[in-house]
Amino acid sequence: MAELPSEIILDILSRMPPESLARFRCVSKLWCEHIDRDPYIPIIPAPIIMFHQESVDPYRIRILSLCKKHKEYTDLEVNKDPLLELECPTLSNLYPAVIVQAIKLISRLLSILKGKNAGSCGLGFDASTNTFKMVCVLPKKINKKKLFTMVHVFGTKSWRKISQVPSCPITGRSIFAQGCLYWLVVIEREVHKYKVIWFDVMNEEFGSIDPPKPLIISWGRQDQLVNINGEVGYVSRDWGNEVWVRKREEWFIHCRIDINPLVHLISIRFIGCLNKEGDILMTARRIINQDTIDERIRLFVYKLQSAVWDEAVKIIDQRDNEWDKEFICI
Amino acid sequence: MSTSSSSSKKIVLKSADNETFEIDEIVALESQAIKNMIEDECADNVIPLGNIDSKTLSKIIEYCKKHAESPKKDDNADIDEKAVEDLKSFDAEFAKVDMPLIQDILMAANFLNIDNLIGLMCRTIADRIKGKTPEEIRKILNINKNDLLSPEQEAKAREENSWAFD
Repeated sequence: MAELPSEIILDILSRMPPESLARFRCVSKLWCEHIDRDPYIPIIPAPIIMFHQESVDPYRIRILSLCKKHKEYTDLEVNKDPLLELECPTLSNLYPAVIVQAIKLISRLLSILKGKNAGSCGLGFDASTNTFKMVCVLPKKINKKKLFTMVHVFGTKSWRKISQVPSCPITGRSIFAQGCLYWLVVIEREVHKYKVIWFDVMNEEFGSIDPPKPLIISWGRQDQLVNINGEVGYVSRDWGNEVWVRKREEWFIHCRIDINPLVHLISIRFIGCLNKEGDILMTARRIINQDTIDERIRLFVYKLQSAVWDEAVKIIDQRDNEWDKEFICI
Repeated sequence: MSTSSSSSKKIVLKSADNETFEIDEIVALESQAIKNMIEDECADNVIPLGNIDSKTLSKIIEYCKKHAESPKKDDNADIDEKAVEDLKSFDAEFAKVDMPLIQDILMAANFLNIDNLIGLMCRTIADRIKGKTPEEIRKILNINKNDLLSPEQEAKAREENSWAFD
Protein backbone atom coordinates (compact mmCIF):
# COMPACT_ATOMS: atom_id res chain seq x y z
CA MET A 1 0.00 0.00 0.00
CA ALA A 2 1.44 3.34 -1.04
CA GLU A 3 1.73 6.36 1.24
CA LEU A 4 -1.00 8.96 0.94
CA PRO A 5 -0.03 12.04 -1.06
CA SER A 6 0.67 15.31 0.66
CA GLU A 7 -2.53 17.14 -0.37
CA ILE A 8 -4.60 14.25 1.02
CA ILE A 9 -2.73 14.33 4.34
CA LEU A 10 -3.49 18.05 4.52
CA ASP A 11 -7.17 17.39 3.83
CA ILE A 12 -7.30 14.80 6.64
CA LEU A 13 -5.43 17.06 9.07
CA SER A 14 -7.76 19.97 8.39
CA ARG A 15 -10.58 17.83 9.80
CA MET A 16 -8.83 17.09 13.09
CA PRO A 17 -9.49 18.64 16.48
CA PRO A 18 -6.62 20.76 17.91
CA GLU A 19 -5.69 18.21 20.57
CA SER A 20 -5.08 15.45 18.00
CA LEU A 21 -3.00 17.84 15.90
CA ALA A 22 -0.84 18.74 18.87
CA ARG A 23 -0.16 15.04 19.37
CA PHE A 24 0.38 14.26 15.68
CA ARG A 25 3.23 16.70 15.25
CA CYS A 26 5.55 13.79 16.02
CA VAL A 27 4.06 11.31 13.52
CA SER A 28 6.52 12.30 10.78
CA LYS A 29 8.45 15.23 9.35
CA LEU A 30 5.78 15.79 6.71
CA TRP A 31 2.97 15.85 9.27
CA CYS A 32 4.90 18.18 11.54
CA GLU A 33 5.59 20.49 8.62
CA HIS A 34 1.90 20.58 7.64
CA ILE A 35 0.66 21.15 11.16
CA ASP A 36 3.17 23.90 11.90
CA ARG A 37 3.01 25.75 8.61
CA ASP A 38 -0.55 25.63 7.37
CA PRO A 39 -2.46 28.64 8.68
CA TYR A 40 -5.81 26.93 8.31
CA ILE A 41 -4.98 24.03 10.58
CA PRO A 42 -6.21 25.19 13.95
CA ILE A 43 -3.71 23.75 16.41
CA ILE A 44 -3.50 25.27 19.87
CA PRO A 45 0.08 24.76 21.07
CA ALA A 46 -0.93 24.46 24.72
CA PRO A 47 -3.24 26.14 27.16
CA ILE A 48 -1.93 29.67 27.49
CA ILE A 49 -2.19 32.68 29.67
CA MET A 50 -2.42 36.07 28.11
CA PHE A 51 -1.33 39.29 29.77
CA HIS A 52 -2.17 42.61 28.33
CA GLN A 53 -1.57 46.26 28.95
CA GLU A 54 -4.44 48.50 28.10
CA SER A 55 -2.99 51.90 28.70
CA VAL A 56 -0.05 51.85 26.32
CA ASP A 57 -0.03 52.54 22.63
CA PRO A 58 0.47 50.43 20.61
CA TYR A 59 -1.49 48.03 22.70
CA ARG A 60 0.68 45.14 23.84
CA ILE A 61 -0.07 41.52 24.55
CA ARG A 62 2.21 38.91 26.04
CA ILE A 63 1.44 35.24 25.77
CA LEU A 64 2.84 32.57 28.03
CA SER A 65 2.39 28.90 27.40
CA LEU A 66 1.69 27.01 30.61
CA CYS A 67 2.82 23.61 29.47
CA LYS A 68 6.40 24.32 28.58
CA LYS A 69 9.08 23.57 31.08
CA HIS A 70 11.13 26.48 29.85
CA LYS A 71 9.00 29.53 29.76
CA GLU A 72 8.54 31.01 26.36
CA TYR A 73 6.94 34.36 25.79
CA THR A 74 5.52 35.79 22.66
CA ASP A 75 4.94 39.52 22.55
CA LEU A 76 2.46 40.97 20.14
CA GLU A 77 1.53 44.50 19.27
CA VAL A 78 -1.87 45.63 18.10
CA ASN A 79 -2.33 49.05 16.65
CA LYS A 80 -5.06 48.81 14.04
CA ASP A 81 -8.77 48.70 14.57
CA PRO A 82 -9.39 45.02 15.35
CA LEU A 83 -12.67 44.88 13.50
CA LEU A 84 -10.82 45.81 10.35
CA GLU A 85 -7.70 43.82 11.07
CA LEU A 86 -8.68 40.56 9.49
CA GLU A 87 -5.72 39.97 7.23
CA CYS A 88 -3.33 37.33 8.47
CA PRO A 89 -0.74 39.10 10.57
CA THR A 90 2.90 38.12 10.73
CA LEU A 91 3.24 34.47 11.50
CA SER A 92 4.90 33.77 14.77
CA ASN A 93 6.96 30.60 14.86
CA LEU A 94 5.32 29.59 18.05
CA TYR A 95 1.68 30.21 17.29
CA PRO A 96 -0.07 29.75 13.98
CA ALA A 97 -1.55 32.82 12.36
CA VAL A 98 -5.09 32.00 13.22
CA ILE A 99 -4.36 31.87 16.95
CA VAL A 100 -2.31 35.05 16.89
CA GLN A 101 -5.09 36.77 15.03
CA ALA A 102 -7.73 35.47 17.42
CA ILE A 103 -5.82 36.53 20.51
CA LYS A 104 -5.16 40.00 19.15
CA LEU A 105 -8.76 40.50 18.21
CA ILE A 106 -10.35 39.22 21.35
CA SER A 107 -8.17 41.12 23.76
CA ARG A 108 -8.51 44.37 21.85
CA LEU A 109 -12.25 44.03 21.43
CA LEU A 110 -12.72 43.24 25.10
CA SER A 111 -10.84 46.34 26.13
CA ILE A 112 -12.81 48.51 23.72
CA LEU A 113 -16.10 47.07 24.91
CA LYS A 114 -15.07 47.41 28.53
CA GLY A 115 -14.42 51.09 27.94
CA LYS A 116 -17.86 51.55 26.47
CA ASN A 117 -19.35 49.33 29.16
CA ALA A 118 -21.57 47.62 26.64
CA GLY A 119 -21.56 44.37 24.78
CA SER A 120 -19.11 41.52 24.79
CA CYS A 121 -17.34 39.12 22.52
CA GLY A 122 -16.08 35.59 22.74
CA LEU A 123 -13.94 33.14 20.86
CA GLY A 124 -15.16 29.59 20.32
CA PHE A 125 -14.24 26.54 18.32
CA ASP A 126 -16.72 24.87 15.96
CA ALA A 127 -15.74 21.20 15.86
CA SER A 128 -18.12 20.41 12.98
CA THR A 129 -16.22 22.66 10.59
CA ASN A 130 -12.91 22.81 12.50
CA THR A 131 -12.90 26.58 12.56
CA PHE A 132 -12.58 29.28 15.18
CA LYS A 133 -15.58 31.54 15.38
CA MET A 134 -15.78 34.85 17.10
CA VAL A 135 -19.09 36.27 18.21
CA CYS A 136 -19.70 39.84 19.22
CA VAL A 137 -22.90 41.06 20.87
CA LEU A 138 -23.39 44.81 20.86
CA PRO A 139 -26.19 47.23 21.63
CA LYS A 140 -27.60 48.94 18.56
CA LYS A 141 -27.18 52.30 20.23
CA ILE A 142 -25.20 53.17 23.34
CA ASN A 143 -27.33 52.70 26.44
CA LYS A 144 -30.14 51.09 24.46
CA LYS A 145 -31.42 47.64 25.18
CA LYS A 146 -31.79 46.47 21.58
CA LEU A 147 -28.92 44.17 20.60
CA PHE A 148 -27.35 42.77 17.50
CA THR A 149 -24.96 39.87 16.99
CA MET A 150 -22.00 39.60 14.62
CA VAL A 151 -20.10 36.42 13.80
CA HIS A 152 -16.67 36.12 12.29
CA VAL A 153 -15.27 32.82 11.06
CA PHE A 154 -11.49 32.76 11.11
CA GLY A 155 -10.07 32.17 7.67
CA THR A 156 -12.66 34.46 6.11
CA LYS A 157 -12.30 38.21 5.99
CA SER A 158 -15.66 39.50 7.06
CA TRP A 159 -18.16 39.73 9.86
CA ARG A 160 -21.71 38.58 9.32
CA LYS A 161 -24.77 39.68 11.18
CA ILE A 162 -27.05 36.95 12.51
CA SER A 163 -30.64 37.32 13.62
CA GLN A 164 -30.23 35.57 17.00
CA VAL A 165 -29.59 37.73 20.04
CA PRO A 166 -29.29 36.84 23.74
CA SER A 167 -32.32 37.39 25.97
CA CYS A 168 -30.55 40.17 27.87
CA PRO A 169 -27.50 42.40 27.32
CA ILE A 170 -24.16 40.77 28.11
CA THR A 171 -20.89 42.31 29.22
CA GLY A 172 -17.55 41.10 30.42
CA ARG A 173 -15.66 38.02 29.58
CA SER A 174 -16.94 34.78 28.17
CA ILE A 175 -15.60 31.31 28.71
CA PHE A 176 -15.66 28.54 26.13
CA ALA A 177 -16.53 24.94 27.03
CA GLN A 178 -18.18 21.99 25.32
CA GLY A 179 -18.89 23.82 22.07
CA CYS A 180 -20.55 26.81 23.74
CA LEU A 181 -19.55 30.26 24.92
CA TYR A 182 -20.89 31.26 28.34
CA TRP A 183 -21.43 34.64 29.97
CA LEU A 184 -22.57 35.40 33.47
CA VAL A 185 -25.03 38.26 33.68
CA VAL A 186 -26.59 40.03 36.64
CA ILE A 187 -30.27 40.47 36.04
CA GLU A 188 -31.21 42.08 39.33
CA ARG A 189 -28.32 43.86 40.89
CA GLU A 190 -29.88 44.62 44.28
CA VAL A 191 -30.28 40.96 45.13
CA HIS A 192 -27.44 39.61 42.97
CA LYS A 193 -29.64 37.52 40.77
CA TYR A 194 -27.53 35.83 38.12
CA LYS A 195 -28.17 34.07 34.85
CA VAL A 196 -25.81 32.15 32.57
CA ILE A 197 -26.21 33.00 28.88
CA TRP A 198 -24.81 30.53 26.37
CA PHE A 199 -24.08 30.66 22.66
CA ASP A 200 -23.86 27.40 20.71
CA VAL A 201 -20.92 28.06 18.38
CA MET A 202 -21.88 25.43 15.80
CA ASN A 203 -25.60 26.22 15.52
CA GLU A 204 -25.22 29.93 16.28
CA GLU A 205 -28.01 29.99 18.84
CA PHE A 206 -28.37 31.65 22.24
CA GLY A 207 -29.98 30.25 25.34
CA SER A 208 -29.74 30.55 29.09
CA ILE A 209 -29.41 28.39 32.20
CA ASP A 210 -29.70 29.07 35.89
CA PRO A 211 -26.54 29.11 38.01
CA PRO A 212 -26.31 26.47 40.77
CA LYS A 213 -27.56 29.07 43.27
CA PRO A 214 -29.31 31.72 41.25
CA LEU A 215 -30.55 33.92 44.08
CA ILE A 216 -28.65 34.62 47.25
CA ILE A 217 -28.72 37.90 49.06
CA SER A 218 -25.20 38.57 50.14
CA TRP A 219 -23.28 41.77 50.29
CA GLY A 220 -20.54 42.19 47.73
CA ARG A 221 -20.99 38.82 46.20
CA GLN A 222 -19.33 38.56 42.83
CA ASP A 223 -19.77 35.24 41.13
CA GLN A 224 -17.89 34.25 37.99
CA LEU A 225 -17.60 31.54 35.39
CA VAL A 226 -14.41 29.55 34.86
CA ASN A 227 -13.37 26.76 32.52
CA ILE A 228 -12.69 23.64 34.59
CA ASN A 229 -10.70 21.39 32.27
CA GLY A 230 -13.07 21.75 29.37
CA GLU A 231 -16.32 21.96 31.34
CA VAL A 232 -18.17 25.07 32.33
CA GLY A 233 -17.47 25.96 35.95
CA TYR A 234 -19.20 28.40 38.28
CA VAL A 235 -17.58 30.10 41.25
CA SER A 236 -20.10 30.97 43.91
CA ARG A 237 -18.84 33.43 46.49
CA ASP A 238 -21.43 33.39 49.22
CA TRP A 239 -19.52 31.24 51.69
CA GLY A 240 -15.86 31.25 50.80
CA ASN A 241 -15.49 30.07 47.26
CA GLU A 242 -17.49 27.16 45.98
CA VAL A 243 -16.54 25.91 42.55
CA TRP A 244 -19.29 24.10 40.66
CA VAL A 245 -18.97 22.26 37.41
CA ARG A 246 -21.74 21.49 34.94
CA LYS A 247 -22.02 17.94 33.64
CA ARG A 248 -24.96 16.33 31.88
CA GLU A 249 -27.16 19.41 32.31
CA GLU A 250 -26.62 19.57 36.08
CA TRP A 251 -24.32 21.43 38.45
CA PHE A 252 -21.97 19.44 40.68
CA ILE A 253 -19.64 20.76 43.36
CA HIS A 254 -16.01 20.61 42.19
CA CYS A 255 -14.32 21.98 45.30
CA ARG A 256 -14.72 24.43 48.17
CA ILE A 257 -11.90 26.86 48.76
CA ASP A 258 -11.58 28.86 51.92
CA ILE A 259 -9.12 31.60 51.09
CA ASN A 260 -9.34 34.67 53.24
CA PRO A 261 -8.42 33.43 56.70
CA LEU A 262 -5.28 31.82 55.34
CA VAL A 263 -3.62 34.16 52.92
CA HIS A 264 -5.50 37.43 53.13
CA LEU A 265 -6.31 37.96 49.51
CA ILE A 266 -8.78 40.24 47.83
CA SER A 267 -9.93 40.86 44.23
CA ILE A 268 -9.81 37.15 43.61
CA ARG A 269 -10.41 36.09 40.06
CA PHE A 270 -10.37 32.48 38.89
CA ILE A 271 -8.47 31.98 35.66
CA GLY A 272 -8.75 28.29 34.87
CA CYS A 273 -7.16 24.93 35.55
CA LEU A 274 -3.41 24.63 35.52
CA ASN A 275 -3.32 20.91 34.77
CA LYS A 276 -5.38 17.79 34.32
CA GLU A 277 -5.47 17.24 38.10
CA GLY A 278 -7.71 20.29 38.30
CA ASP A 279 -5.39 22.59 40.28
CA ILE A 280 -6.89 26.04 40.01
CA LEU A 281 -5.16 29.16 38.85
CA MET A 282 -6.29 32.56 40.04
CA THR A 283 -5.20 36.16 40.37
CA ALA A 284 -5.56 38.21 43.53
CA ARG A 285 -4.07 41.05 45.55
CA ARG A 286 -2.50 40.53 48.94
CA ILE A 287 -3.64 42.35 52.05
CA ILE A 288 -0.35 43.34 53.65
CA ASN A 289 -1.83 44.76 56.85
CA GLN A 290 -4.96 46.52 58.00
CA ASP A 291 -4.28 49.67 56.01
CA THR A 292 -2.22 48.46 53.10
CA ILE A 293 -3.09 46.37 50.11
CA ASP A 294 -0.46 45.25 47.65
CA GLU A 295 -0.92 47.16 44.40
CA ARG A 296 0.15 44.25 42.31
CA ILE A 297 -2.12 41.58 41.07
CA ARG A 298 -0.40 38.25 41.62
CA LEU A 299 -0.97 34.79 40.33
CA PHE A 300 -1.81 31.95 42.74
CA VAL A 301 -2.36 28.23 42.43
CA TYR A 302 -4.72 26.17 44.54
CA LYS A 303 -3.61 22.53 44.72
CA LEU A 304 -6.71 20.41 44.82
CA GLN A 305 -5.23 17.32 46.50
CA SER A 306 -3.36 19.05 49.28
CA ALA A 307 -5.84 21.96 49.53
CA VAL A 308 -2.92 24.41 49.68
CA TRP A 309 -2.55 27.88 48.17
CA ASP A 310 0.74 28.84 46.64
CA GLU A 311 1.88 31.98 45.02
CA ALA A 312 2.77 30.86 41.54
CA VAL A 313 6.24 32.33 41.44
CA LYS A 314 7.48 29.37 39.49
CA ILE A 315 5.06 30.15 36.71
CA ILE A 316 5.35 33.90 36.58
CA ASP A 317 8.55 35.62 37.58
CA GLN A 318 9.05 39.08 38.97
CA ARG A 319 9.58 40.91 35.72
CA ASP A 320 6.08 39.98 34.63
CA ASN A 321 4.62 42.13 37.32
CA GLU A 322 4.67 45.19 35.12
CA TRP A 323 2.27 43.27 32.91
CA ASP A 324 -0.06 42.08 35.59
CA LYS A 325 -2.99 44.07 34.43
CA GLU A 326 -5.10 41.14 33.39
CA PHE A 327 -4.87 37.47 32.65
CA ILE A 328 -6.89 35.53 30.20
CA CYS A 329 -6.72 31.80 29.90
CA ILE A 330 -7.61 30.40 26.51
CA MET B 1 -39.13 6.75 -29.06
CA SER B 2 -37.42 9.49 -27.21
CA THR B 3 -34.42 8.12 -25.43
CA SER B 4 -31.52 10.43 -24.90
CA SER B 5 -28.53 8.90 -26.55
CA SER B 6 -26.05 10.13 -23.95
CA SER B 7 -27.76 8.43 -21.00
CA SER B 8 -27.55 4.98 -22.56
CA LYS B 9 -23.96 5.26 -23.75
CA LYS B 10 -21.68 2.73 -22.10
CA ILE B 11 -18.12 3.04 -20.88
CA VAL B 12 -15.90 0.11 -20.03
CA LEU B 13 -13.34 0.35 -17.23
CA LYS B 14 -10.56 -2.20 -16.86
CA SER B 15 -8.93 -2.82 -13.50
CA ALA B 16 -5.27 -3.60 -12.78
CA ASP B 17 -6.15 -7.29 -12.49
CA ASN B 18 -7.80 -7.20 -15.94
CA GLU B 19 -11.40 -7.31 -14.84
CA THR B 20 -13.75 -5.21 -16.99
CA PHE B 21 -16.73 -3.19 -15.74
CA GLU B 22 -19.35 -1.86 -18.15
CA ILE B 23 -21.10 1.21 -16.78
CA ASP B 24 -23.37 3.99 -18.02
CA GLU B 25 -21.46 7.03 -19.16
CA ILE B 26 -23.41 9.18 -16.69
CA VAL B 27 -21.94 7.09 -13.86
CA ALA B 28 -18.41 7.43 -15.24
CA LEU B 29 -18.85 11.21 -15.46
CA GLU B 30 -18.81 11.39 -11.64
CA SER B 31 -15.06 11.13 -12.16
CA GLN B 32 -13.67 14.46 -13.30
CA ALA B 33 -10.65 12.66 -14.81
CA ILE B 34 -12.79 10.36 -16.97
CA LYS B 35 -15.05 13.27 -17.88
CA ASN B 36 -12.02 15.16 -19.17
CA MET B 37 -10.88 12.14 -21.15
CA ILE B 38 -14.29 11.75 -22.76
CA GLU B 39 -14.56 15.45 -23.54
CA ASP B 40 -11.09 15.46 -25.08
CA GLU B 41 -12.14 12.37 -27.01
CA CYS B 42 -9.08 10.50 -25.91
CA ALA B 43 -11.06 7.69 -24.28
CA ASP B 44 -11.21 4.47 -26.27
CA ASN B 45 -13.98 1.96 -25.76
CA VAL B 46 -12.06 0.60 -22.83
CA ILE B 47 -10.39 2.79 -20.22
CA PRO B 48 -7.53 0.93 -18.53
CA LEU B 49 -6.98 1.78 -14.87
CA GLY B 50 -3.62 0.16 -14.23
CA ASN B 51 -3.31 1.28 -10.61
CA ILE B 52 -6.78 0.30 -9.33
CA ASP B 53 -7.62 -3.30 -8.44
CA SER B 54 -11.06 -4.80 -9.09
CA LYS B 55 -12.13 -4.82 -5.43
CA THR B 56 -11.48 -1.09 -5.12
CA LEU B 57 -12.92 -0.31 -8.54
CA SER B 58 -16.20 -2.09 -7.85
CA LYS B 59 -16.59 -0.05 -4.62
CA ILE B 60 -15.93 3.15 -6.55
CA ILE B 61 -18.50 2.23 -9.19
CA GLU B 62 -21.04 1.47 -6.45
CA TYR B 63 -20.46 4.96 -5.07
CA CYS B 64 -20.63 6.72 -8.45
CA LYS B 65 -23.82 4.87 -9.45
CA LYS B 66 -25.60 5.99 -6.29
CA HIS B 67 -24.41 9.56 -6.59
CA ALA B 68 -25.18 9.77 -10.31
CA GLU B 69 -28.76 8.62 -9.63
CA SER B 70 -29.32 11.13 -6.85
CA PRO B 71 -30.58 14.60 -7.67
CA LYS B 72 -27.73 17.10 -7.65
CA LYS B 73 -27.80 19.99 -5.21
CA ASP B 74 -27.28 22.57 -7.94
CA ASP B 75 -30.41 21.45 -9.77
CA ASN B 76 -31.83 23.85 -7.17
CA ALA B 77 -35.57 23.14 -7.87
CA ASP B 78 -36.78 21.58 -4.62
CA ILE B 79 -33.92 20.06 -2.74
CA ASP B 80 -35.54 16.81 -1.83
CA GLU B 81 -34.73 16.33 1.83
CA LYS B 82 -35.46 12.63 1.69
CA ALA B 83 -32.96 12.16 -1.14
CA VAL B 84 -30.32 14.09 0.81
CA GLU B 85 -30.92 11.92 3.88
CA ASP B 86 -30.85 8.79 1.74
CA LEU B 87 -27.51 9.78 0.25
CA LYS B 88 -26.13 10.57 3.70
CA SER B 89 -27.03 7.14 5.03
CA PHE B 90 -25.62 5.53 1.88
CA ASP B 91 -22.32 7.37 2.46
CA ALA B 92 -22.25 6.28 6.11
CA GLU B 93 -22.80 2.63 5.14
CA PHE B 94 -20.32 2.89 2.29
CA ALA B 95 -17.54 4.04 4.63
CA LYS B 96 -17.94 1.03 6.93
CA VAL B 97 -14.97 -0.87 5.52
CA ASP B 98 -11.49 -1.60 6.86
CA MET B 99 -8.70 0.95 6.83
CA PRO B 100 -6.60 -0.57 4.01
CA LEU B 101 -9.61 -0.50 1.68
CA ILE B 102 -10.50 3.06 2.74
CA GLN B 103 -6.99 4.12 1.76
CA ASP B 104 -7.14 2.24 -1.55
CA ILE B 105 -10.46 3.91 -2.34
CA LEU B 106 -9.02 7.28 -1.36
CA MET B 107 -5.97 6.86 -3.61
CA ALA B 108 -8.18 5.75 -6.51
CA ALA B 109 -10.68 8.57 -5.92
CA ASN B 110 -7.77 10.99 -5.90
CA PHE B 111 -6.49 9.56 -9.20
CA LEU B 112 -9.96 9.60 -10.78
CA ASN B 113 -10.66 13.01 -9.26
CA ILE B 114 -14.00 12.30 -7.56
CA ASP B 115 -14.31 15.21 -5.11
CA ASN B 116 -17.18 13.99 -2.92
CA LEU B 117 -15.59 10.60 -2.46
CA ILE B 118 -12.21 12.12 -1.52
CA GLY B 119 -14.01 14.20 1.08
CA LEU B 120 -15.93 11.24 2.45
CA MET B 121 -12.80 9.10 2.78
CA CYS B 122 -10.73 11.89 4.38
CA ARG B 123 -13.52 12.51 6.88
CA THR B 124 -13.69 8.81 7.66
CA ILE B 125 -9.94 8.54 8.21
CA ALA B 126 -9.91 11.69 10.37
CA ASP B 127 -12.71 10.31 12.55
CA ARG B 128 -10.98 6.98 12.98
CA ILE B 129 -7.50 8.22 13.80
CA LYS B 130 -8.13 11.33 15.88
CA GLY B 131 -7.89 9.46 19.19
CA LYS B 132 -4.84 7.37 18.25
CA THR B 133 -1.21 7.68 19.32
CA PRO B 134 1.51 8.74 16.87
CA GLU B 135 2.85 5.14 16.82
CA GLU B 136 -0.56 3.79 15.83
CA ILE B 137 -0.92 6.42 13.10
CA ARG B 138 2.43 5.44 11.59
CA LYS B 139 1.30 1.84 11.42
CA ILE B 140 -2.22 2.50 10.16
CA LEU B 141 -1.23 4.98 7.48
CA ASN B 142 1.98 3.25 6.52
CA ILE B 143 4.15 6.31 7.12
CA ASN B 144 7.51 6.24 5.36
CA LYS B 145 10.18 5.21 7.89
CA ASN B 146 12.68 7.61 6.30
CA ASP B 147 10.42 10.54 7.14
CA LEU B 148 10.37 10.06 10.91
CA LEU B 149 11.62 12.76 13.27
CA SER B 150 14.96 12.14 14.96
CA PRO B 151 14.67 10.91 18.57
CA GLU B 152 15.68 14.40 19.77
CA GLN B 153 13.12 16.15 17.56
CA GLU B 154 10.43 13.73 18.65
CA ALA B 155 11.23 14.23 22.33
CA LYS B 156 11.02 17.99 21.80
CA ALA B 157 7.69 17.74 19.95
CA ARG B 158 6.31 15.58 22.76
CA GLU B 159 7.43 17.98 25.43
CA GLU B 160 6.01 20.99 23.63
CA ASN B 161 2.66 19.31 23.28
CA SER B 162 2.68 17.23 26.44
CA TRP B 163 -0.82 18.48 27.33
CA ALA B 164 -2.23 16.50 24.42
CA PHE B 165 -0.67 13.20 25.43
CA ASP B 166 -2.48 12.20 28.61
